[in-house]
Amino acid sequence: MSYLLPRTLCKQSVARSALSSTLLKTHTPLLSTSSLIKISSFHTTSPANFKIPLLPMQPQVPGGVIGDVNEAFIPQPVNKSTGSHHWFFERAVEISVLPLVTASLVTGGELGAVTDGLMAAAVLVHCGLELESSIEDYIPRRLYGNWHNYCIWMLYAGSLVSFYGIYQFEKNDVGFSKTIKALFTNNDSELIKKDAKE
Amino acid sequence: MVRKLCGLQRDVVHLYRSCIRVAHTKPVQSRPHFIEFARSEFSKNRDVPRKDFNTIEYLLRTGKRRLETYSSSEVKNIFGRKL
Amino acid sequence: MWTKQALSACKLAYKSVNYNTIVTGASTRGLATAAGSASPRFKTFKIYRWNPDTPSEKPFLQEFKVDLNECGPMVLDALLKIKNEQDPTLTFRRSCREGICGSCAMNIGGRNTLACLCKIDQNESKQLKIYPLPHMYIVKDLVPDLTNFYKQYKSIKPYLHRDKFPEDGKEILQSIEDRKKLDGLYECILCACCSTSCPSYWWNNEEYLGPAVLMQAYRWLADSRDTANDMRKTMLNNSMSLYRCHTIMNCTRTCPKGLNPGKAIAHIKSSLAFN
Repeated sequence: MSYLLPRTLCKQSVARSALSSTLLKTHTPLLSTSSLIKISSFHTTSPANFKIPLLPMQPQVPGGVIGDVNEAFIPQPVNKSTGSHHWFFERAVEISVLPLVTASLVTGGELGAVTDGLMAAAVLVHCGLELESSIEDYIPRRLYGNWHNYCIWMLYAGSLVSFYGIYQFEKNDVGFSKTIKALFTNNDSELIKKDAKE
Repeated sequence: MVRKLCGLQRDVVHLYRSCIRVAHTKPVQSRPHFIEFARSEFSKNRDVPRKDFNTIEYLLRTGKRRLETYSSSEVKNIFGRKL
Repeated sequence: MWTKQALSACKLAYKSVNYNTIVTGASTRGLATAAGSASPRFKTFKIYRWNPDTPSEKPFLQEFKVDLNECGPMVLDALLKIKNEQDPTLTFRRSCREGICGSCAMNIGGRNTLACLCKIDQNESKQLKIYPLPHMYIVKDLVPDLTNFYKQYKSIKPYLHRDKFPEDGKEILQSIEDRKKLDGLYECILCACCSTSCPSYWWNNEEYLGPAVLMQAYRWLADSRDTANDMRKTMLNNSMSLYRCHTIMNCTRTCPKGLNPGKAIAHIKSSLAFN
C-alpha cells in the first residue's frame, strides 16, 4: 500500500541532492547525508524544491502566500485554450491514436502512406501535448517567467520540424510502420536496398 | 562604493525598511518603541550565515507575517524583551 | 445555601473523578490483550524535530523508545505518551483522537495519514519514522503551515450560492438521489493528507489547488441546491488550478477516510470539457 509515496519522495530527494549537495555537505551533524537530504526535502523553506539548473528564477513571495492570511487565493484568469479545450484535445488525440496504432499493428505496416503518416502525426501531437504539460509542470511561468514561453515556442518549433520530417519520410522512404517492423523482425533487406540506391 | 545586494539581501533590507515605515504610522510617543523593537528583532539573527538561505527565508516569512500583525491600527505600542 | 453545598459537592466529585483518571490512567492505558505481560516491548520511534527558536539549526530525527505494553494501539497514543513522559517540547496538532478533526495529519512510515487512525506496527524490531506532511512549510516539529491550503479552500467559495430561496423560508429540499451524489464528498475533513501526497501539488502548490480543495469544489458543483455552477467552473478553467492533475492517484491511495479525490477531479474535468 505504501510503496508509491516513499518512492516518489526518494526520487525527489535524489534530484534535490544533486542540486544542493554543496549546501548540504557543509552540515554533517549526527545524521548520515542520505537521511539529511530526505529531511531537508521535507522541510522546505525554499520557494521551490525542484529547480532547473542554469535557468534564472523569478523572485518569489516568501512562503508563496500572496496577500493577507484571511484573503482567499486568487486563481489565474480564465483561459479555455490552456484549460478545458486543451484537455479535450488531449483526450481526442489519445483516443484517435489507439485505432491508428492498432490498425498498423494488425496489418503489419501494409497500410498506405497516408494512414501511416496520420499515425505518426497523431503520436507526435500526443507527445507534444504531454511535453507541453511537463513544461507547465516543471518550468511554470510563476518561477521562470519568459523562459516558460521560450520553452513552449521551442516545443512548437520542434514539432513543426518533426511534421516536415514525417512528410519527407513518408514521401521518400518506407514509412514508420515498416521501419519499426524491420527493427523487430531483423528483416532489414528492404531498408538496405533503399540505402544502397542512395 | 555600494556593494550590490543579492535578491535575498534585498528582501531583508526591504523588510527592515517596511518595519520602519510601519513604525512611522504609529502614535508619536510609541514610535521609538517600534523602531527599537524592529532593530532588536533583526539584530537577534545578525549572526546567521550569509549562505544559510533556508534559515534566512524562514525568518523572512515569519517576519513578514509578524509585520502584518503589528501593522494593524489596533496595535498602539510595543515592548520588546530585554536581553 | 444549598447552592454552595451543591457546588462543593460538585467540586468534590470533580476532584475524585480527576483523581481516578490520574491513578488509573497510567496503568490501564494500553492494549487489553497486553495487560499484565512482564517484559517491556520497546519500539523505536524516529520523529522529525525542528525548533523555530533556533532556525539556523538543521532539522533532525530524534529517537524515542516506547514500551508497547504501556501504550495505546495508535500512533497518536505513542506521540502523546512521548510528550507526557519523555519530551514535553515535542509539538504536534491533535484534537479529536478519532479521525474526525483532521488535526493530526502527518507522514507516518512514508505515508500521509492521521496519527489517530494509524495503528502502530506491533513488530518492535522495526523503527517507525514520523515526519510532518511533506513539502509544507514547518511551524514546529510536526506542525505544518497550512495557510496556503486554507486560502485555496476559501477561494472555491465553499458555501451555498443561490439566487432564489423557498417562499416559506424553510429548508431547500433535495431528492434522495441528489443527496446520494454528495456521499463520498462531504465526508472530507480537510486534513491535507491527499494534497501533500500529490507530486503536482509539491511542485506547484502556489497555483494548483490540490486534490482536497478540488474535491470540495466538486462537492459544491454536484450539489443540486447550488446554482452557481458556471461561476465555480470558470474559476477552475485555466492551466494551473485544475489541469495540473495528472491522475497520479496518490490522493486516493493515501486518504485516511477512504475517499476518492481523483474521481471527483475526473468528474470536474469531464463536466468542464462537455459544458
